[in-house]
Amino acid sequence: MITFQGVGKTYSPLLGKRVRAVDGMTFSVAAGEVFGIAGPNGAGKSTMISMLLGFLPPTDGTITIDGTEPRVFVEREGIGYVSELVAINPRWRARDALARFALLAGLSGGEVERAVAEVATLLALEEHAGKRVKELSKGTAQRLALGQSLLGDARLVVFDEPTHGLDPLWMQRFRELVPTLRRADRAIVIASHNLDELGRLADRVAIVDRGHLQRIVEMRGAGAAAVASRYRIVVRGGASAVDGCFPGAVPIGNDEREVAVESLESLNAALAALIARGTTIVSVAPAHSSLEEHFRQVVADGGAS
Amino acid sequence: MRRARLLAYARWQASDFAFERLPAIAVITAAFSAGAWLAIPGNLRSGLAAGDPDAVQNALRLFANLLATVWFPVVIVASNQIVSGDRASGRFRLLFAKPVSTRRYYLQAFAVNGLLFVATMTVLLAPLALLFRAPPGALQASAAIFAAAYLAVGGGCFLFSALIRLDWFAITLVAFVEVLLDHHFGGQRWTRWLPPFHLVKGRIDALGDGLPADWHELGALALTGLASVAIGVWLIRRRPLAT
Repeated sequence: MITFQGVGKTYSPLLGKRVRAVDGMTFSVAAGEVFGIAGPNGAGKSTMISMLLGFLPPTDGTITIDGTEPRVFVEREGIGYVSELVAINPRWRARDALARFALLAGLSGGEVERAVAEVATLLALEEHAGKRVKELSKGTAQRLALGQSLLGDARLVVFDEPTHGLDPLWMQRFRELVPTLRRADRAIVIASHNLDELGRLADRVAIVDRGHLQRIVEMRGAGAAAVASRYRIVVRGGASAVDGCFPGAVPIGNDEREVAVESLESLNAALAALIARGTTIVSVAPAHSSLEEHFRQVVADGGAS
Repeated sequence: MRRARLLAYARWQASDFAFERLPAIAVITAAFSAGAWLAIPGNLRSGLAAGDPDAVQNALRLFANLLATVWFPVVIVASNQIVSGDRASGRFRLLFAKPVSTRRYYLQAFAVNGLLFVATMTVLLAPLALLFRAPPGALQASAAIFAAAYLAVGGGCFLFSALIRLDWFAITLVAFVEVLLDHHFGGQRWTRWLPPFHLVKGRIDALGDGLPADWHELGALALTGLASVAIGVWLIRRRPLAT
């Protein structure tokens, strides 16, 4: 559905030096897929999203959505979009803002009222409906932005830092919402700093850094079975026993150690030895999710901030 | 596949005009009107009350002077930052993720603002026209002048708005230079290529003299404005929304 083919973007300000924000990016996103984009600040995520929506033209390469230019696609079909910065006129009331966006999404008179009511209920915006946008808290404004993205029936949904400003409860609700948006003819793109969120929601995650697509990580299927290199082990009755079986174990707490392993086999062998010594294991979990592992390899070890 | 219901959205654009532009237009017009009314000499007031033709003619000139003072700032308030405001604030992002044509959206905003601007000025000036005993037709003539002025100067502002943030400053500068050049070199052929903003003042002066509307000059102003709007719409398509 979405194709980036050798896409590059150079900002050339009148004053100051040119900045290559995105370089040689090639990937595609299929309909029915949830695709994540992860990267540190300044990695090029926002530029990618701006180009995907047709707000910026690429300097090199081509971007297509369903075979057409992004701007043509957006003006024809619309995109369910939440921007990183929620920029809605501060004077508008929340209810009116949803009604306006519903009209722009192509809903007719009766549908507008129904859709606005549904979205307000789904995102608990009823009590804020009469407030002006400038009176809303950051989290409520983010929910309003999320709400407007659900109006209409877009085949492409783009969430740019969708849980920014949301409290843990609403972050969880967002995570429950995304699977309900999945559809065979719809692609969902989520750009986020929150790797845990991407790990839970996305089928694949593109890790970008310094304008380059560094890696695409499969989060489902065979590719997801990547082995973590560090684990956290909690035992009952003192973790010193762990040190004997896992040389180089790092103390985290009284009963917890972080250990490095080379393979699942070596992890299992060491755990078996630990149990054989009479130690009760409470939990064993990867110290980082597999996505975090990839991210650290690509970004942190690559020397980016 | 759905398309934005842009015509239905016009009522929201009208609401934006009413809350964001109309108060400033009303304050400017009211302030200048009050000043103009208070500045009327006592003998002119009594002459007006008595229906003295000379007093009525002088009052019409004062009414025209008021229009000459107020037209430029109110046109700027009505037409500035139509495109650049959304660009600078980032509001375009959520708006134009919807299936809406940016060109049609802003063209409609310009038209809605223009219609409401002319209606607003007519309503605001109606009581003043009564007080000044302006002849029948003066209010319609002033509405025609305001419409032409909105198209000409507002259209220029719209064009600049598609390009830069300080559209109001750019159009003010262009209008100032044009009036200055026309004043000094008005008879020369090359001045024909300048936007004819000075015609607004000329039309207002003619109104003050009780002369009928010159549709040729008003048409020239309107055509200049429509050309600016057309270029502005082309620029909206060409210039990236994000920068």
